[in-house]
Amino acid sequence: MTVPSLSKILLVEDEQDIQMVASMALEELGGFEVAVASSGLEALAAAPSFGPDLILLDVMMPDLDGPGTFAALRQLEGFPMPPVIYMTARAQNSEIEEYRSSGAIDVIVKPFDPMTLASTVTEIWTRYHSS
Amino acid sequence: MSLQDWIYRLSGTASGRPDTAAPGGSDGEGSIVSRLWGGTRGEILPKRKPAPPRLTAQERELEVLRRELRASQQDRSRLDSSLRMLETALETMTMGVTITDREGRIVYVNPADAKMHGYSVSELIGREAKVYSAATAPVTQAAPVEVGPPDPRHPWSRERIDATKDGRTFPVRLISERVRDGDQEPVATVTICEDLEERESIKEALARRERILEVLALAAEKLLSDAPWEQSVEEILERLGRATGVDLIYILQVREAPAFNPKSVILGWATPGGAAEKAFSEGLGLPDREDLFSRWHDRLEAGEILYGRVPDLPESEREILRPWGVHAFVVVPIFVDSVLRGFMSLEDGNLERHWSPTELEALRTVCRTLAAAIQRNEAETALADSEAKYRDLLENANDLIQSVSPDGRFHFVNRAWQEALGYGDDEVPDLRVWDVARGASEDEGDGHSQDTVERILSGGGGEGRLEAVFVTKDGREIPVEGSVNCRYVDGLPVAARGIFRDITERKIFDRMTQEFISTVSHELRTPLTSIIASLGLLESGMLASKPERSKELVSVALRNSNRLLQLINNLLDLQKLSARKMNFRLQPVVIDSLLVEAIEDIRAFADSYSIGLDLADVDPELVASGDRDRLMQVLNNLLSNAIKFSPDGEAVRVSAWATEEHVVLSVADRGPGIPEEFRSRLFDKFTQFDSSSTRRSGGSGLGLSIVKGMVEGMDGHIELDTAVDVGTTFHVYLPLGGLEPDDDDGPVAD
Repeated sequence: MTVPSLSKILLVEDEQDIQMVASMALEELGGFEVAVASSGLEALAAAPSFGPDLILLDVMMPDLDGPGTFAALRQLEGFPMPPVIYMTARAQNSEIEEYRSSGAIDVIVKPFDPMTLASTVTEIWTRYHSS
Repeated sequence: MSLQDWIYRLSGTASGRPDTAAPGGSDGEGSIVSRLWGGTRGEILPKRKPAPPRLTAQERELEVLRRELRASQQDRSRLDSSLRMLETALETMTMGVTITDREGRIVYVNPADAKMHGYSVSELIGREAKVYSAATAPVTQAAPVEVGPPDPRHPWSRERIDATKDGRTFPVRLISERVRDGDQEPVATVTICEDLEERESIKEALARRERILEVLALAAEKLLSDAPWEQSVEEILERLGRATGVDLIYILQVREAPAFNPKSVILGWATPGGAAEKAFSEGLGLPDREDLFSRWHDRLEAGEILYGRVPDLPESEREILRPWGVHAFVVVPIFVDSVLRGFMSLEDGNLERHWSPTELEALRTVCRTLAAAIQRNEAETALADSEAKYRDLLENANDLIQSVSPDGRFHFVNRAWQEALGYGDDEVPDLRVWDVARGASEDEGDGHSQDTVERILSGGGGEGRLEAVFVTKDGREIPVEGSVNCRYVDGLPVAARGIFRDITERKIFDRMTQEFISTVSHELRTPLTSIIASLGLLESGMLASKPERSKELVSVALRNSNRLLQLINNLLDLQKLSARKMNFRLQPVVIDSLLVEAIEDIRAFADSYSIGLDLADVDPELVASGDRDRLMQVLNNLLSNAIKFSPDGEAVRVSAWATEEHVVLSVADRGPGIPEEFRSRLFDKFTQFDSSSTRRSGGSGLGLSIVKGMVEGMDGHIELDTAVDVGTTFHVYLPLGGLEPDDDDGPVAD
């Protein structure tokens, strides 16, 4: 099975500082094309035009949280839903299990290592498409 | 004259030798004398054999005489011993015996007869039997001894009133028999005399004993019944009192050995209307009586039955008994387990009251029965007490206690159980355990409790600690934790006993703690994510050619480090507040400048949310008492909350004024308001109105808890005015401060 190439990532994250360091890590070290959304609503607006291969989705956000954004994106007409990886600082096992079972292909726990973030995302991407 | 001599005289052998000729009475078989001889005269004498033919007539005559003499001597010897026996009997018997001759003179009288009539034996010999006749007695009853029925061939009996030597009269029963000579001529009369009065009293005593024993039978029945102890005893005492005919009867039961003391229980009965009844019902002189019986304690303890006449007692003891109108008494000790535990006292106004040994023994038996009942009663009371104690313990326990039979019904549930589940006494019997309990985890299903009960009762385990859920009558679920075990009778399981504790509070606490940890963890991880990521990127050196980006990353790390510090400070403040270890330097604080400074500090944050800050005109003289630094923290918290919850473009309004007792600081927003159900928990630590992932960031749920703790630490309080969709206003009430701010450190309060 061939693994499709991963180039466009939509990062949905309400913390501006994390937006900055995460997108820097993904762009500089992974060579990805990263678009940033600061909320679930921004993500809904940006996703169709950006057409991401993968979405990195923060769980805790005001107004529309990660799972809510996930569900809303799926409902978007004419938008092919890409795989989603949650990023969360709620790192208890029960919480991680909950996110995994909600349809995401994996969960990345904050804080993450900026030097390996890109390779971790690639690994998840490859594993997802290999299984 | 001895009886022996007289009998020989009577048989006509003045020489002291019995007549060889038989007395020949046709009634010889029945006469006393002939009976003494062992039958008829002929039987006593040996058979006379014919003389051998070789002897001469003279020799034969001589031989016959010799034999007769020998036989006669033998007869005499046998007669002597018989007479001695008879004499002994006559001398020692309690009935009187007189023998009168043809003229009615007393030729023999036994000691009993003489004593009965108040004479000595020697005074009576030779006197006429008429000496016994009572002058006052009716003639018909005072018939002379010697006048018998017309043909008195057999003994005859009659009753008579006799008089003693000193004139006292008493009834007697007489049995007489004539003694006749060979010609059937009466030569003497033997009369046996019985003192009817004495016999009457003995008969009466026996009858009383019978009645006592009847009461005893009743007592045994009563005391073994379920009737109340005191009621039974009182009924028995009344019956015993009536049976013995005493005026007063009571038992004194000592509750605490050894002394008779005020803890004694007195139950009794007295002849209605008598002096004793009055005295008894009024408890007249009871302490003195207890004192009296204490004096008698040792003798009673030795098992002695004390009885007698009051006049025979020492004056001090007479004094005590006098008010009760008692003249004769009997006190029977009551022993329980060999310990003197009281006594039964029977008292009578009749001075001459006689207590026969059989009566006394019967009374002792009654007391033994009472003792057995006392013992039983005490054992039952002790058992009931201990049962009541345990029942009380179970009933009033805060835990939910139940006992379930194998069919799922409840043997027992305690009050806490009923209150928690809402079922009344009449509803519990219809319940099955699976109606009200199920396993703690939902996937175990409703059958869980049935399975559990069955498993426990089949010996299949399941005993021990468990969590379960009780469902109340109105459908509410109560999480419980507890333990169950099996009760066995004769090796068979009969009940599953459970004791449970409502863990609703603990569950809430657990959940809150969980949420708190999760929130704090998130709040720590979020700034750490930025710090670690930015420092990691800087360290890699890949941004060496981009100094602008590097500088940005340093700012990110610094900003998030400060945010982390703030969070940690909050946690420490909270810890101090809950441990009451936070110090407040209370001093006059000028409110106007305080508010201006607080607003300036938060302005950048407000700007980032596009929220305005309006400060109303505040009286520059307004001074509160407080810790200025802590007040800044309080305002910072309230303002940042207000900013975060305000809709974009709105303003947070700040004002302050004085009431009679307080300075009021007010921070108002036009946010969504605080829902009713959340208000009561608003200031609890670990609490966030919205712990879901959509909540506004930056809140650890600690802010308001810290605010409240601090305000209260400064002797103030905080109030909330909120309406959904209108906004929220917090009012901080602080004590009025002094006129002038003081640069010196104010008093330190904790």
